[in-house]
Amino acid sequence: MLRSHLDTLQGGQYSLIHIETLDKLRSFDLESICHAILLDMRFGRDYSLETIRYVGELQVGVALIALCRDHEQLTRYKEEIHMLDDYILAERLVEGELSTRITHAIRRRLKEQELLHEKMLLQSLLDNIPDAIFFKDRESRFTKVNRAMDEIYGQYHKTIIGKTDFDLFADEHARAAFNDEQEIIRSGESLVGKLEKETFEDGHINWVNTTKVPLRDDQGRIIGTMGISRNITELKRAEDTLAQERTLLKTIIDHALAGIFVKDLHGRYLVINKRHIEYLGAPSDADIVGKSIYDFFGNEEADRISAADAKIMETEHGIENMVDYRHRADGSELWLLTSKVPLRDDSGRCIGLVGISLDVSEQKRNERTLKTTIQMLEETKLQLIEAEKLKTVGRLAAGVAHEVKNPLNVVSLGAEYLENHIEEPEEMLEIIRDMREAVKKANDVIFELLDYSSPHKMRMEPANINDLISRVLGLMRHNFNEAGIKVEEALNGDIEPVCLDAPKMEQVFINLFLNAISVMKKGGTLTVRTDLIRMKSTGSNVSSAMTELFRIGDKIVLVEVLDTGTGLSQSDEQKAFDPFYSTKATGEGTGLGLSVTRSIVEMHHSMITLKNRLDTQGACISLLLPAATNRNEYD
Amino acid sequence: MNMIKFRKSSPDKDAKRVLVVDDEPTFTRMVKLNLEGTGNYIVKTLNESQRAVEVTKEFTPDIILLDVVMPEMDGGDVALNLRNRSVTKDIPIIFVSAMVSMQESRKGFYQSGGEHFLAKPVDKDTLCGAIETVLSTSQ
Repeated sequence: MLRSHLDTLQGGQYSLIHIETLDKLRSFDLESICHAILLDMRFGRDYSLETIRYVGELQVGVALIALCRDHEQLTRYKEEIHMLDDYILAERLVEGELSTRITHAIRRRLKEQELLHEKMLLQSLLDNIPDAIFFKDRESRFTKVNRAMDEIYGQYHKTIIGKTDFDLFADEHARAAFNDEQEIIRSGESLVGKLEKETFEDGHINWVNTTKVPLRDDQGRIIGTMGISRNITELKRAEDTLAQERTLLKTIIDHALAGIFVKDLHGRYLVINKRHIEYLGAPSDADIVGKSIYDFFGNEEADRISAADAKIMETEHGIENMVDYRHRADGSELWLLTSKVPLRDDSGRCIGLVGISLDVSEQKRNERTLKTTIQMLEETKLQLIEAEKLKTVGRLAAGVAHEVKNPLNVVSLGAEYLENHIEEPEEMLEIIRDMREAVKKANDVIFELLDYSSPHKMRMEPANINDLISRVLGLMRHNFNEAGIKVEEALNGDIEPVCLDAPKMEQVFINLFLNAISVMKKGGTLTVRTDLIRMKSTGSNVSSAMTELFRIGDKIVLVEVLDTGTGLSQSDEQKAFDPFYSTKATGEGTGLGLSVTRSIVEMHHSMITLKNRLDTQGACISLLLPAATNRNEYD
Repeated sequence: MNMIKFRKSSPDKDAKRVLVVDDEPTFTRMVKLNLEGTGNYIVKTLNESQRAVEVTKEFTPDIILLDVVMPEMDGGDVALNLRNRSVTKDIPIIFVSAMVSMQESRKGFYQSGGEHFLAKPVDKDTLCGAIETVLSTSQ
């Protein structure tokens, strides 16, 4: 009967191979010779069992179908029956059934094979991946974890199945993880790549990157969560170290006493510290990154700096300790000592430059003060030598004066006697009068010399220089009238008092007015002006003498004495104040007047200059005296 | 060349007697010439200051012009010697010196510390003025 069923297969869908023994079956690679095996269980139990086990354990894509006599026979294989893909009760077999049953068995076998394969893949993934993979139920209890997780957390617990994060970790992390999972369960939304800090009960810390997704059943209902955690503790530590180094570097840069900056190839600031921002003249909290030097300086200045930078990046040679000068917004000076080096990337390519600038304004100022001081000392030394010389001259003069006065007096008395007693000839009397006049001039010279070399004792008191000038002009009114000189007074009533020694200062004006008279022999106009001015700046138009005497903001009383004489030659301008320099004819002056005048003026911490008038022919003498209100600052 | 015509003068009968003490003979001679030229003075000159007391006793001047700086005995010592003697102590003295500070010397004749001074250079009018001033106050 079976044979007839088998015959129906033959020649149709299937071909049959008949294998008599198990040994023979074992010699074949089953998958390459057949799709299904029909096992006739009627040969005997032992033989059948062995065959079922052999084929079942092969787990190949060959369906195993048992052919039994009846139900009763089948029940004797209870333990092995799950290894069969199908069974056929021979006595109940109907026509065509065998073919259909074989076809279905093959299909089932293949399906099962696929499932097995997939399960194998999945299991091997779970078993071999070093990341921790876990499944949790709705109460966040672990229902399954992979080997890696078991190994990581299993060392603290016999098993973690059934436990929660609260059992594994400190409360801080467990609570957060629990909340996350409950949120996933509630919303159905995944949590991807969350950085988690796992604090273990023994205190050690792991940093993990965790992704959790909802776990659904085949109906789509959320029954828990599953997730994967990658331990990134090392990475995090490296990152933290990097961040620390960055913070350290930033702290150093921000608090350095120097300006530090980094520019890209286009001159844009990539990094700039507060101090350098200040050097650029911007508020220290300004956002400078991305800006360039052109945002802070005029084109000319910016072009210069930019060209220097370009050269560094082009030649890849840095510059060291270049001194750079800038004006601050408040007008003060800024001297920077700057070094710049090219900035290279990993491959050695120049990608910009790094610079550091030190404020050396203070040193510059000191340097300059030192220079000025040295210069002043040099000048003082010269003045001292000059003064010492004059002192010697003075001592000599006093002695010489005594020796000369006697013989001169003999001559003058003799001449006077002769003049009084000779009646004629008149020529003789003229000669005698000339002699007397000459002796008188010689005497004057001696007095002037004594004046010049005698020690000056000063008594300084605040006084109005206008009053002093008016007094002297009054005293000399006769001299001006005699010389046909008109006097113009332009005295500013608002000037401030000046500290002066009145007799000495009077001598100054007497000398100046006498000089004016001597250069205006044919008459003219003498103008005396006073005014109050302020020391404005120390620019190039202000002489160094003035810068030394006055400070910016000082009030200065200006006195100008203008004549309409012949004016000055170049040598006059240079030497007018030198002792014994005179433009007067020999015998008319000693050349000591202006020199004495200048000495007195200098004793008043003031200065005197002599130059030609610009408006008309003549000379202009300017006196600059500090107002008494400035004096406190000097003393 | 014309002849030089000289004006003669002789001392008045009430001419004052003036002793001039100075180590410089040319100076004393010139002072004598100028003073006697006025007719108002009879002048005796002395160039050796150490003889001042002796000559004063002999000449009995109304007034003495005394140089301050002299080699043998200076004017201060001479004045001290004169004032220590009853015969000469009341004769007024005018000190004459080239060694004075310029402020005072500008004035020519001045007083300082109760004494009278004449600063060189002097001219005839200053000399006479000084003598007259001192004589009028001392009598």
